[in-house]
Amino acid sequence: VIGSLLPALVGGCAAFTGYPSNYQNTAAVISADEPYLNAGVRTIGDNPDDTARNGFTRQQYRDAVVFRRLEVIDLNYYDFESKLTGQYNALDVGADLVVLILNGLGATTGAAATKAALAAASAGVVGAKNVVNTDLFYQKTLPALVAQMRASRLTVLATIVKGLQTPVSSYTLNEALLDVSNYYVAGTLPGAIAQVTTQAGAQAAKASADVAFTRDSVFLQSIGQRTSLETQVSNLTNAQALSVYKAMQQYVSTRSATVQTLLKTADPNNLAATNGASAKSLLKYWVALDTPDSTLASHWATAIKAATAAN
Amino acid sequence: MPATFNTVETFPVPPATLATVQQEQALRVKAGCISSTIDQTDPKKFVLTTTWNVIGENGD
Repeated sequence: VIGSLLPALVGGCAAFTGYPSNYQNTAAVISADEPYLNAGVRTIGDNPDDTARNGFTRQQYRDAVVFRRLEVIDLNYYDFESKLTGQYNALDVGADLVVLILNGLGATTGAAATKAALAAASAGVVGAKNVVNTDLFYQKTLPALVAQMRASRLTVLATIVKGLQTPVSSYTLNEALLDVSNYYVAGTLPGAIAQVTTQAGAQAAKASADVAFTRDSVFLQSIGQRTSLETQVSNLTNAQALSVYKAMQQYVSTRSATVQTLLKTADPNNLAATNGASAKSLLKYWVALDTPDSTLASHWATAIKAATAAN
Repeated sequence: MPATFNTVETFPVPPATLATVQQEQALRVKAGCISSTIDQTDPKKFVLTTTWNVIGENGD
């Protein structure tokens, strides 16, 4: 679907772009590269006789095929990028595309918070379509994807350049052409979206950090108190839990650094401050894992009593 | 991808016993953990490793 939108996005564009005119005749260059673009290059490259390659050795021919193809990919890529980022009047198609991108990310990203943010952004674009708001697409989403395309292209290019420094026996033309195809894909919007999505997943996985405690006798002796508090929190409605969390939130800074790390790790987006179910979950974690000294125990009692009386 | 985190709690022996650590483990299960495991390989300590959901990251 994205592929079907791209021609509409890059076609029919305004004259103004953020890129100067290309210094070379791209059509002529591509035409000159034509012999290295056809499907016969593999057969020619494998031929043991150098005369089949106009005197080029297999390695020289491999390098020539790769560099000519990279050149054509680059020419098309820069043309694509300049049209993509240099135009400012393709709102409808742009908005359609960004909704597609955001929905795609939302569908493939595991994090609920990320999904919510993307869904909100997507809704914002839909809503903005009629009020000429190009900010999200042109100032946020698209530059990020262009940056991703550039970074991915450089990564693949480094692999290719490294391969070309080795003999054709260890980096064959077939392997090189595979990397060239990867280089092309790296410069596509779907490729960039896939990369961004992968990174979002990695960030979610990054949340799997450990929070370490060393427990002492005071903590062990508070098991009855913590169990009782856990039961009281479990019996709260979500609205009550939200009230308790709001009352207790001010005391987070008085807890040990480890407990503060725990609460932040458990609720990195501070959902407990606005969502009753999230508040209840976080409170249950908190009461189970933090020693309720007399001051904190008093705060718990006061907060729970106030919440249950009010709701 | 579900987001989780672990708490790793070390209970020196003494004062901890297997029974007290099992009580702690039961409380974590009651508090909503995904899983909780007691490592008893070192006679000088118990290590209670508990896996929890990151709030809001798993459709909760």
